[in-house]
Amino acid sequence: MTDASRGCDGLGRSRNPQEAAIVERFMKPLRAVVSCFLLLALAGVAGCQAGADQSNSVRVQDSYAKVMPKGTMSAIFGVITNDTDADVTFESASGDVAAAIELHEMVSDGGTMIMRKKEGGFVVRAGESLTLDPGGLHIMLIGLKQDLKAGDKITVTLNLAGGGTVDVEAVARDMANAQESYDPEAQSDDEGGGGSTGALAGSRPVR
Amino acid sequence: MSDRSPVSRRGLLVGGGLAAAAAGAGVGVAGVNVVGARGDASAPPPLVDFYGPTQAGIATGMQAHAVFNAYDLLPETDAEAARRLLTLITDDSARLTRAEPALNDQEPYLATVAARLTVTVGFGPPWFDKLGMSVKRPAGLTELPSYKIDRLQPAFSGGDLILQLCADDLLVLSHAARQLTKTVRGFARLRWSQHGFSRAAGGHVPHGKDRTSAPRNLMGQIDGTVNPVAGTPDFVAVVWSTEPGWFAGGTTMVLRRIRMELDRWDELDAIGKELAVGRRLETGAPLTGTLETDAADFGATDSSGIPVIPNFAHIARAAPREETDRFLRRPFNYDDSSSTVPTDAGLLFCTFQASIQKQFMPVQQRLAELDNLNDWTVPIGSAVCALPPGCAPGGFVGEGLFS
Ligand code: HEM
Ligand SMILES: [Cu+2]
Repeated sequence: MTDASRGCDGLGRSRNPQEAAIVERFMKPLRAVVSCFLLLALAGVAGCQAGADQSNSVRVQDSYAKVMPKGTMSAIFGVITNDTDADVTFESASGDVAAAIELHEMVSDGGTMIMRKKEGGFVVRAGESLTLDPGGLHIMLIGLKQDLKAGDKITVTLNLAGGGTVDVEAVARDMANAQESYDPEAQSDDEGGGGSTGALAGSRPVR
Repeated sequence: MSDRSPVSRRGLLVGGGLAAAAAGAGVGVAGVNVVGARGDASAPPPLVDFYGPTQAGIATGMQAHAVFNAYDLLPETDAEAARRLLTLITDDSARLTRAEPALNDQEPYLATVAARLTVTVGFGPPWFDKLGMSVKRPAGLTELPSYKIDRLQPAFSGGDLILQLCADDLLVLSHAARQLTKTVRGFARLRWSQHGFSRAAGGHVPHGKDRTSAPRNLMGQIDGTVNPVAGTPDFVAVVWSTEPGWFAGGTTMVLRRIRMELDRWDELDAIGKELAVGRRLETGAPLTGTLETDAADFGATDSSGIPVIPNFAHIARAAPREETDRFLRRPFNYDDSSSTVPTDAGLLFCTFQASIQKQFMPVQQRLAELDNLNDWTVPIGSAVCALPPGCAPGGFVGEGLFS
C-alpha cells in the first residue's frame, strides 16, 4: 500500500542529506560532466570517479533547443558552469544532429540584432558560469537532420581549446522566442549551406 | 428510518481496525474525521514536493485557488508524442513547484514564489483509446451515467488530458497555467478551463482555541467536514488505487461543475437552509450536535417523532451506506459572475477515489434520486480522469503507461 503522506501532505518535509543528494542528482538530468582528461589537465585532479564529483568540473545544465523542422536551423541554450580553478575556452561544437554546429553570439548591426560566429569561442571563467540564452550566446544548429519535436532530446559536444569535450544534452521546447535573424554576410562567408532559411523566425515549429 | 446509513460515522473510523493505526495528527479528536482539506492556522510552507509515490494536489491541504484545464489530443499525437508531452509537463511542474522558472520561462520572475503550487496530471477515458493503450485503462476509471438532475454543457465536460493546478497565490497560478499551456499546445487543444477558489491563504474560521473549520462555499455552508484525513490508513484506503500493475498509487478524479441557484437560495430563511443540508450554517455542526466535528445522529427524532435531520437532507442522503461508498472531497467555488442576475456561481465539486464506480457512483445515484439541495443546485459540467501515481526525480508522471 502506498504511503499517503509522502510528499503530498502539503506541509513540506525536510530531506535527509542522502535523500537530498539523490534528488539533486536526478533534478539535473541534463548536466554534462567534463571529461576526465580535462579535469586532470586543468585542475590537477588526481582521480576521476565517473559522474560523482560536480564540485570540480565543467558542466552544462538546463539545456534546451528550439523546436524546428528538419532542414532548418535551431539553437541550443543552457548554463555552462566552470567549477575548476582555471578559465576554459570552448572553441567549437560538433555532433550529428545538424549539418553544421557553430558557437554564436548576437550583436547589434545598425540597431538590428544579428547573430554571427563568436570570435574566440565561449570563455567560461574559473568558478563562474556562462548563460546561453535566446538573444545572446547560443550553440547554432544549421541544417537539422531530423525534425526537432517538443520533448526530443539531442546531444552535441562542446570542444575545448587544447582538447577535452563536454557533452550537452538538450531537450527541444516549443518556443515563441529565439527568432533571431542570421547575419547574411557572415553566412555567405562561412557556411553557404543555410541559404535563405537562415533564420529561426518564420518557420513553423513542428510537433 | 429505512434508508439511513447502517454504518455510523464512528464505526467507519473505528471499524476495520483503522483507528488504532490512524494515530497521525488530526485524528482521534473524539474519533471524528477532522477534515483533511482544511488550511492550517499557521502559515504553511510554500513548497509542495512534485515528486513522490503519489501525485501532489490530492492529499495536499486545499490551496486558495485552482485551475482545471482539459485538453483534447491532436490527431497527430500518438503514444510516442504523449510520452514526450508527459516528460515536458513533469519538467515544467517540478521546476515551478520548487519556485524555479521553467526552461525558457518567458517570465522567470513570476516563478520565484511557489505558494504551495501543485500540478496534478489526469487522463480522461479517451486518452487510453486514442493512444492505443486501452489495456492500460485503470478499472477504477468509469464514465458517469447521465443522471436525471444533469444539465451538462459540453463546454465544461469531458477531456482527454486534465491538469489540476492549485496554489495560494493567483499570480503564481496564472503563470504556471500559462507556462503549461505553452508546453501542451503542440500536442493537444484546450477543451475547457475552469477557475476555482477556496478561502484566502491562511484564512480560517476559528472554532474554539485550536480548531479551524473546513472552508465555506458560496451558499455559506462549511463544506468539507466529513472527509478522509490525509496521512491516515483510512485516507490511503479510500483514495489510492491498489490495482495490480502500473496504476497502484494512482487515483481517479471526478469534477462536477454544479451551479448554485443563489438567487432562489436567498429566498430561504436560515432554518430552511439548515434543513436542506442537515447542518448549522454558523458552526457547521449537524442538527443533532453542537460542534462541526460532532458525528451526525441520523436516528435522532424530536418530541413528535420527526427526524431532527430530515431524510431528504443532503448529508442524510450523502452519508455512506457501506464501507466503500466514500471518497475525498476537495471542492472549490467558482464565480463567473456574482454581479449578474441570475448569479453565475457555484461549486467545482472535485472528488478523489480509487474507484469511481464503487465509491462515487452509488452516492451520486442516491443524490440524483433524492436530495433537498437539488432544489438549488444544477450539475452543468462533468469530467472524469485517472491520475497516475507520482514519479521520482528522473522519471515522469505516467511513465507506467509505457512500460
Ligand atoms: C453544489 C453542490 C453541493 C453542495 C453545496 C454541498 C454541500 C455540502 C455540505 C455543506 C456538506 C456538509 C459538510 C461536510 O461534511 O462537508 C456536504 C456533505 C457531503 N456532501 Fe455535499 N454538496 C454538494 C454536492 C455534493 C455532491 C454532488 C456529492 C456527491 C456526489 C456530495 C457528497 C457529499 C458527502 C459524501 C458529504 C458528507 C456526508 C456525510 O457523511 O456526512 N455533495 N455537502
Ligand atoms: Cu545563431
